[in-house]
Amino acid sequence: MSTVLTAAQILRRLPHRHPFVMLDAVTELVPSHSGAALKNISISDPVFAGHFPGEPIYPGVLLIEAAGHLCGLVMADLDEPAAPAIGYLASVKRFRFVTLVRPGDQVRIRATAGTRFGGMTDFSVALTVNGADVASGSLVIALPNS
Amino acid sequence: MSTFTEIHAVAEQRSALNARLRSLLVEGLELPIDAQMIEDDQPLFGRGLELDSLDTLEIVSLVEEEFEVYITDDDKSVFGSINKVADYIVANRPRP
Repeated sequence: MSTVLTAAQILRRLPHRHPFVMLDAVTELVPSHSGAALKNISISDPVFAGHFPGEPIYPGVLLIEAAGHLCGLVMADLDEPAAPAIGYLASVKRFRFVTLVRPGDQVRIRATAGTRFGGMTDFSVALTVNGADVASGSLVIALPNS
Repeated sequence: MSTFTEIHAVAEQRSALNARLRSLLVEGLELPIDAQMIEDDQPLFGRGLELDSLDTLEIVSLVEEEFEVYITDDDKSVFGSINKVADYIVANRPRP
């Protein structure tokens, strides 16, 4: 599997910074259409200090956030912009979580753009670990002033 | 010149389309109202049905799935009422 965007290149395209950098690599990217990315889950992530002590489980809400970042990259310009545009998470629909994500897992995220209107785009997203479904659902991302 | 029968058939088709649209909106947007309570010229946004911009995206998706008609960014006036959405569908739906 090849890397289309490294972590450093992702940082130049998204406005998020630590501790909200969610993606380690982008492996596929078709601008305005679809993308795929990797997220490595490390026990070093400070979220595990509280979620949960002695039973580390990666929070589902952060998996949604990671998928949202990939959606943002799909919507972003292919060229690195001077100032990355901030996309707003406008809706989370029909999300299902079917497998727990734990330290050591590598989450593969896929996002496909669907209906778009008035600066908003509806994405179908699916997350897997070792080929097994982890979560899926749809996200609406809104770009301001578009 | 159209005959009375032809005009009557067109009116029935339009009535059925509006009814289907009302049901589609109520079911698709999970509105807590009876579909028959929506009037054909009632504003869908603002003080009408009080839909918001996210609902717009959902309506675009519902209309595309149901009628194979895609509403573009240039056509925001389409969402004025059930009648306006129906007008747009009639004007843009694929011919058999």
